[in-house]
Amino acid sequence: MYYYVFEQPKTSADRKAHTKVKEHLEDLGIMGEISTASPARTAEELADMGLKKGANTIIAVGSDRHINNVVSLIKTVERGLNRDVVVGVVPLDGTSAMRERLRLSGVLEACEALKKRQYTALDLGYIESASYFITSAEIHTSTPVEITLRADRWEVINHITDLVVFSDLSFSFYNNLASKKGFHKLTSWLWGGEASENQVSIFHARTLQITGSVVLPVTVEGEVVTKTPTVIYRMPKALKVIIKRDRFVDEQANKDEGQTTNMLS
Amino acid sequence: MKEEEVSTIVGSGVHLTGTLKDQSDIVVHGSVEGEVSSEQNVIVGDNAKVKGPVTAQTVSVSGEVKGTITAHDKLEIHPSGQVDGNIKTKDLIIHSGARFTGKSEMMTSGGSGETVLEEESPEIEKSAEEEDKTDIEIEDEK
Repeated sequence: MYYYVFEQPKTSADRKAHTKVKEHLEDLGIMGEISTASPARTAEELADMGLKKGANTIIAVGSDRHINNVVSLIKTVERGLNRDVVVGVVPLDGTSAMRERLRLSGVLEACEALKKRQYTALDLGYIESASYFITSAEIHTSTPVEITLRADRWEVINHITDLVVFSDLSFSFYNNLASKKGFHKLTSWLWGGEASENQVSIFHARTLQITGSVVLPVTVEGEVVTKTPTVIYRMPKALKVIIKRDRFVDEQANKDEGQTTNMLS
Repeated sequence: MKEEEVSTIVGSGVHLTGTLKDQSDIVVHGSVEGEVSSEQNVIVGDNAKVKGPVTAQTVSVSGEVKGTITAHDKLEIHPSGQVDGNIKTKDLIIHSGARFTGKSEMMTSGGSGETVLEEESPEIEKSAEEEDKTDIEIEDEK
């Protein structure tokens, strides 16, 4: 059963976008049970209800923050379910990192991908005692703060203003003393650009321990989920996510990614 | 998010302590105190400092390395590069102006580590003023 969790609409544009998605779902014949978050029912509560009803495909429709919240809930309760849950996403933000990651051109393509239900397993990040994340966890400060990063077999002590940790635990940091230029370089790397700026550091790890000289908020999609000190873990292939057809072919060609399955076959 | 293999980059102003190992390229612009090891390439940038052994398929040094360098395919020391330590490689290029203090060991093309040339070099320093050529290239002996 497809169980949809729509984000609470905040504007008329959001409501129009929701209507458009529902029309696509109806046209494609994949209209399942639809729920919409509200002040009375959070997205996490709705996702939990869907799982309790026996849904094995939960689809988050909305912003990256909403998708992250739904994913985090699913991963938190999944262990007790004794069944695999597949996540579908319909990102509605024009600048969605999820849309970029899954190479979805728009809402219609995201809905078409749902119909085929071909999925792959993606890495997730896990912030200790806090939440899972599918995009990135971030620390930003207006002035440089001394941060100690311990990863696997090395450590870095550095004054930084921006730290971005992706779900595969590749991470990048920058000391943005003078302008926003450096951080733009950093984020351009996130979208696939070149990180040519010498000041930008990029690392990979399985576990990352973050300690600051002061307590710093750690955010996921703009929402504070914990504070330093904290530990972030890479959860390899922890989330089954529906992907579009050509992405599915790419995934099959990539042995490292692997674990791609077609539930329809 | 980017999913292809991304290099590890130690930015300028960053001091890293410990072992830095990666399957992809490692680029150092800052300083590293410890082992640097890549299954592909290691690039030590202009103002970078590495104190510890460096191992990779190819190693390019434009900064400072104090430690043993093992480059299975090629080691290139650029004009601004300084190496203080023994080196072991199959293909060695030392540019004019570069500094190298240590012992060099040339590996065979099979990469078995068999020594075909070994020389003690208290200090080799080439500068543009001393040489007509801008580059000095030492080719592997066949």
